[in-house]
Amino acid sequence: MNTLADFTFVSGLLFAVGIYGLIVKRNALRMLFAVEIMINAANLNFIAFDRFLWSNLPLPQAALGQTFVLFSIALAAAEAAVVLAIIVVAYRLHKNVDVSELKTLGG
Amino acid sequence: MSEAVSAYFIWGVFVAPFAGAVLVPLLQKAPKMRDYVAVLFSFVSAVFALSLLVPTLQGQTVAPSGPTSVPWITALGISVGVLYDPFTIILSNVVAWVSFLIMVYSLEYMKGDSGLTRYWFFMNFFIGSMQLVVLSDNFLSMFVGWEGVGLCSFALIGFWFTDEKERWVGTVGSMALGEAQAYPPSHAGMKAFVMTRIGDVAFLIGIILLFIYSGTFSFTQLAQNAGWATRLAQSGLLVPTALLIFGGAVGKSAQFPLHEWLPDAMAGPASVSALIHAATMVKAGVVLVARVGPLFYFALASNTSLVQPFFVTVAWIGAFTAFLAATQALVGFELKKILAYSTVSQIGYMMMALGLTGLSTDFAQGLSAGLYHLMSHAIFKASLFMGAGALIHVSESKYVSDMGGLRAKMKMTFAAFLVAAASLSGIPPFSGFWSKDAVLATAWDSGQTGLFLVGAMTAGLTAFYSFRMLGIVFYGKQSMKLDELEKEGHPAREVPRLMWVPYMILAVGTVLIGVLSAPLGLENGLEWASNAYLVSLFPRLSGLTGTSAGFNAVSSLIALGFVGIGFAIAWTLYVAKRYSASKLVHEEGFIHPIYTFLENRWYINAVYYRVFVDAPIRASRWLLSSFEIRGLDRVNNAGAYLGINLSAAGNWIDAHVIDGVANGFSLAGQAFSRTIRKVQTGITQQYIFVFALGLALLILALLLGAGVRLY
Repeated sequence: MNTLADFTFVSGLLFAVGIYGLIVKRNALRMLFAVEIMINAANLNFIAFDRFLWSNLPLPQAALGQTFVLFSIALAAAEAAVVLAIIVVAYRLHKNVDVSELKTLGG
Repeated sequence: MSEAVSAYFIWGVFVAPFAGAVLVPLLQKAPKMRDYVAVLFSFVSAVFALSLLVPTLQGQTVAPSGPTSVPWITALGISVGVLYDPFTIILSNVVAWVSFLIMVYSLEYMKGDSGLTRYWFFMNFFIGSMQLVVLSDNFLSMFVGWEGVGLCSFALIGFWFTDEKERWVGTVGSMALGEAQAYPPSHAGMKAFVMTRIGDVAFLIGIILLFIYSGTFSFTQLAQNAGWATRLAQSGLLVPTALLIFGGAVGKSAQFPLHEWLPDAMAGPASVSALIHAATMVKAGVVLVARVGPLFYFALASNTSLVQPFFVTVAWIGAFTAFLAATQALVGFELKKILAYSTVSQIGYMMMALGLTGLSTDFAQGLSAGLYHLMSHAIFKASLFMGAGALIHVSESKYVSDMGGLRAKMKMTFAAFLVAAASLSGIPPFSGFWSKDAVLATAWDSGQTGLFLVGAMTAGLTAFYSFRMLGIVFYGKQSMKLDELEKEGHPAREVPRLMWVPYMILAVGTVLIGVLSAPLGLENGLEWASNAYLVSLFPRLSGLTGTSAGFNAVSSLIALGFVGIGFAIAWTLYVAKRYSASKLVHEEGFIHPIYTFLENRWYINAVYYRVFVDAPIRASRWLLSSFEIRGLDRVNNAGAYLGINLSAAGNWIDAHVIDGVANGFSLAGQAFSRTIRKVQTGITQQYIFVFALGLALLILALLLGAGVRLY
């Protein structure tokens, strides 16, 4: 039987992987993946805490974490779509998706 | 008996035009839609009103279902509500339908004007405010509507606020007692606002006095508990309060001595004049008197013997105004101004009828006569004004002398104008005859011979000026102005259908009401409505009601005699043209001074300007030269020199001490920012790295703090 600690450990690991990816990678697509991993780390946390700490409560509260995660997933999808669109535009303008070279926005 | 009507329909009557007013500015990008929406909402209001009229006509007096009153200012126990009784519903219908026809007419009449959003907004707001005045069951919300009406009249009279010369009212350059007698539209709007304001303030003081002594604004509550009347009478304020509230009506309904704004209110578009004269504004005062009359009748009667003075004042102000304005209309040369004088005069009749309520044994007779005259006046006067708008549009001039001979060229307008003018003159069988006769019969029945005679004489004057106007405009030769227009390729011809249909409908209405008045027992019906109104709102007055006195042959014949004389003179002079009217005026010795006197409005307007406009201006000029320039300015100058020297000293301190400190701070800031700027690389990934590092350190610190060992 897994404990809450197991889940939080995995979640922490995922978050660390995300941070690592965000810092080290220069490719915008890879950075997007890293962000997605971090979002999923947070989602996993939500589910885990809801399952272990709130499952005894009556129903609306008991499912609150899961409900949140559903919204979070939907928002993540929307965000990914926006970022992908930005990347496509950036590629059209610079023929490149290396963030270190995309500096024209910085002024 | 059918089901009770829904109270929401009553609210709808005044909420719909307000809703229209809100929508109009939102639609200004779509002008066509905006125009139709504005008209549609006045139509919705009229339909709501009609839905209430139908059960009323079937004799139903069941209370409406749903809320007729909702709390407003709970701290003072004030509610806002609507009335539902036959009298009010008939009034509301007159307002709603006449307004709707005017709105339809406006579609064509105002076409292409650049300020249409403003126009439709204020027209709808106007109708809504008037319905609020009519339907309110308390003084406070009535006052809100009252002020709304005042605001809209200001905005619409001054609608052409750019003041082009051809929009002025009055002949530019004409003077009386050294005062100019011509005004630009913006001035006329202001004049209307300021003059009615005098009445409004009186009204406000009156209702506040009432509230202080009774703790309520509601008509019903005031009528049920007469304790306030006793207390007011003890302080000697009862009659003053009644007269103050009546003062509001005097201002709004343009009665003497506050009548001078209405003739100049002609500066607005003709449709606005029609709305002000027929459906809204000036009728608000009549509504107010119909509400306070019964209220103060029993309050006065149960405490003192002061009934007579109050009602005598009301009736005589009405009668005098009727006469005064009618004489001025005799010599008018601006088409709309003649009609404006006539409105003042006809409202005088209504006031007289309402004043007579308290002077006769049958309270409802005067009330129903007033209501009848209001109704028939609204119909024929709206028709006349819209017709006048068409005539002015065609002849491109506001003067009747620039028209002439239009009978054959504008057949529809002529027909409508003829019927409406005949109705105004009180010629049978048109509605104006019956309603004026009802007013005069009331005066006759209550033994007020003086009032009756003034009324009957005024009826003669009315017939004269109506047919004088009709004769000059439609008979005789075409004027030079029209000849000129014809040469330029604009021959006079009938206006578009959208314009003449509304006033034709009203003209047909005045015929129908007139012809069917006797067979349908219209006067008995109105008497019943007035009775029902008195019983529902003022139960204590139920003993004062009676049945209609009906047709009174003697009074009618006397009045008809006067009408006949007026009509005959006007016909000889202006239609048959047996004698030259202008020759009469300029050559006959005694007529000329009278003519000038009337043309200058009995000099009342000029005196008002002298006393209330010029005198304050002169006083302020005197103050400027004697007190301000000689006295205050010297003190000012001394102060100014002192100030200049002080500030020079201050300037030195500023430049040497304060600037040094400020510069020091800014230099330090610059140095600091140069150093710190290097950290801001602009590379996101570095930021994230620092953020992650910080997070890691934070977690470490928390763990150590919680007592976790790392080794």
